[in-house]
Amino acid sequence: MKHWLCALAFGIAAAAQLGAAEVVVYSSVDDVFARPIAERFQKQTGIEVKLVPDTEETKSTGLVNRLIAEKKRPQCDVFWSGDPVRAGILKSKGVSAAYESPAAAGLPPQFSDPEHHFTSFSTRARVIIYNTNLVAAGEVPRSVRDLANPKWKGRACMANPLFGTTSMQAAAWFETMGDEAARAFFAALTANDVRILSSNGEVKRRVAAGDFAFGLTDTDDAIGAMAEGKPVNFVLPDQDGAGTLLVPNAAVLIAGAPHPDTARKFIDYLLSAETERALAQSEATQIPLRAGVPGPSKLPPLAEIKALPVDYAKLVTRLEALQAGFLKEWASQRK
Amino acid sequence: MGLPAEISALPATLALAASAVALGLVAGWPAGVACGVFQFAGRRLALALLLLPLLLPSFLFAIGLSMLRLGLRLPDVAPFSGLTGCVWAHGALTTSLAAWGALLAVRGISGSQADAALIAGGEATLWRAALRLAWPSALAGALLGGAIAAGDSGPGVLLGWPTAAGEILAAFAARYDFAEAVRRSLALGAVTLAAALAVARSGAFALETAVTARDPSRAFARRVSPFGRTAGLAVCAIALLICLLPLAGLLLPLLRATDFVRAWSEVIRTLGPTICYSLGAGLIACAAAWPLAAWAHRRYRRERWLLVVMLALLALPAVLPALGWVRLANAAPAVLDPLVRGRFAVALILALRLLPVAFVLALRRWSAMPRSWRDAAALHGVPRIALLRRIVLPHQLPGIALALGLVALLAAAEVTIVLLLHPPGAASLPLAIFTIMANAPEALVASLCLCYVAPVLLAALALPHAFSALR
Repeated sequence: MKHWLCALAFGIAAAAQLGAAEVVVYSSVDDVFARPIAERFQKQTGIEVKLVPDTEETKSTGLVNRLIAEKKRPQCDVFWSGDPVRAGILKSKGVSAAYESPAAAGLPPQFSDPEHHFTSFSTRARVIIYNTNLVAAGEVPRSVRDLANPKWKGRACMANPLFGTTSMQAAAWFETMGDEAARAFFAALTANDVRILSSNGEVKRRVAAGDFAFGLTDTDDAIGAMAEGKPVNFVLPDQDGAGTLLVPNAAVLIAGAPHPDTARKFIDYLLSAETERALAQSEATQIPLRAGVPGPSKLPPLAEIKALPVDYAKLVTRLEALQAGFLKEWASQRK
Repeated sequence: MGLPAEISALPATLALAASAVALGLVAGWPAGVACGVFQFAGRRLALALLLLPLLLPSFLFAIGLSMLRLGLRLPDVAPFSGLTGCVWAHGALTTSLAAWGALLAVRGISGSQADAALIAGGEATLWRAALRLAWPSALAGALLGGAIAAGDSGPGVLLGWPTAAGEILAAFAARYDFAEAVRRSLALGAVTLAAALAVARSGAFALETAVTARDPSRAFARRVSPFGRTAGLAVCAIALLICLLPLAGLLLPLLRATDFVRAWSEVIRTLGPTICYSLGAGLIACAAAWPLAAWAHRRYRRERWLLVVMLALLALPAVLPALGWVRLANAAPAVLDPLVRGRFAVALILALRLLPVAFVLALRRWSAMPRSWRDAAALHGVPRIALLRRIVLPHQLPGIALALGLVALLAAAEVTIVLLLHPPGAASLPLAIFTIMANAPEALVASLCLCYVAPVLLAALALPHAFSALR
């Protein structure tokens, strides 16, 4: 009986293996942006893409957690991360494998892992989204420090800094301002009654609805709201100061991936100029990292943006420490 | 260093759960009794609306409330956010459970009992007696809803009210510590379980009385009267305000734009897995519940204890069995992946979560089968197989069909388990809505919500009819 059961299970497993070529992709990039790219790859190569998207909105237990949980026997081949920090966390947990893609030629190396555990491509930027009915043209906030400006007391918002790109922003503030100044800045945010919302999408909605004059979010949220006809606009903050934080995508090969060959092909496709072009022209409105690839019409090219000078690899350790300590306490006190 | 966040959030969690229970009792208890005692225009629709919170995930109610407020350009204050917003979102479930609990209890009143009450003091006496009779079931339903609310993080996170479950989720998502999440979920589960056990022990007798329909006498005919019509208006208002209004917020963007083409492609992509998970869960739950109920029915101690266990099982956070299964699947040999990491695994864990629903219906169906049939078969030497095939199975089939349908609908609405366990490329429709709603255009989200809510509403309209046919 036991042998029969084993044979049956083996048969089912073998039958599952006999299917068409496939690649399993976990993606923390919004489903509406990631899926068209995956479908295009599938059409070109005939390799079936099984996409598992994530969500920031309701604080799901998260794909990074699922990847860590599955570390011993991964189901995933590629993690397409919406930011390099989550990719770096996978490296620190031993979940990722090194892969130096030939398609990465032309991509600036400063956004990627020097040991090739993740390679970055198309980027978003952290922006200030403001309500055009509530903020006069001459008063538009130009710096993230305006969040702490008493002039805007109780009228600004940001997402929970424990999650998503806002967590990366917080780590970048600590990295660039230094610990003491960053803690003082967070204290100033508290004093200025900056409202903490559940996600960047919520920041977009609440600013568009006029609940807040301005907030901190990502380019795709701001441009998406403008495309829907909401009374909002955005600025790249600190262009005459420290610079704007850029949030590039990152492609990660999973260690022990069940389909390593198709995984490499998919990563090569993600890093190609074609994908950068597609992400720039789609609703994702992402800025290509590669010079010469046309960017979205509503954003300046990378060369014209003053980027916040951060070491993305260092942000990982910084963020892990902050999330377990200061940020966790600060966020829970702000509720 | 202060207390862990999930401990410091316990008072807020208890305040939320207690308020949701109170709302459930104030609105659901009389609403259920009115639906049981009176016949009025809109009764069927009101019952369908009162079923919706059981069939739709709570995050839809929370997001609907938020979108309703934004759509109506109302300020970010009560009753749309904070504690009151969460109470509204969770109160839909407690109201629904209290109302259905009360309705089930009231429908146990026989025609002669109702006549006696009417002769003794008219309609007012019948109404008071029905309220008294329905109280334990309504209370058990509302408390169960409160326990479920305490373990549900969604509305709290979305509407800005700190709960212990939300803090656990936040700690997990931020710290990537799987073992810690399991430990904390177990701790919260223990609190919820203790509360649920207390509720279940006190409510099990009432529930047992309500579900085991042993009284073969005719049920009383629902009354038509001016008081009944007024009560009916109040029931419709409760159902519209608590259950439908938040969902209307989800659909408001459709007034400006629609995107049914993309929504339809999402529906097509997710339809197969959704049906597979939900029907699979229904089949597995029925396969487990019917033998279990057969073993327990008419043995009252067993019945009651099993009901206690089932109610407690229903009150546990959904994330617990899912996390446990992820661990188990990772430890299993790779050859078993199609079983432990495939669609079957999702259906199995959903079935385990919803087994109590199937069990209650199975118990009700077994109890409605007269003992004399079995005695007569034994007397005439009818073989057991023939008895099962010719008598028992045809009698049980309507109940099995109803349980399968109800479990399937409830399983389709479950997001947490599917999120953690679904095999790559096989998301369900609610999970697809859950994952795209943050950044997709409003028109797409609203169109998708309509594609989901409309069939569920139709099913909700049919379910009370199917349930009454079981009597």
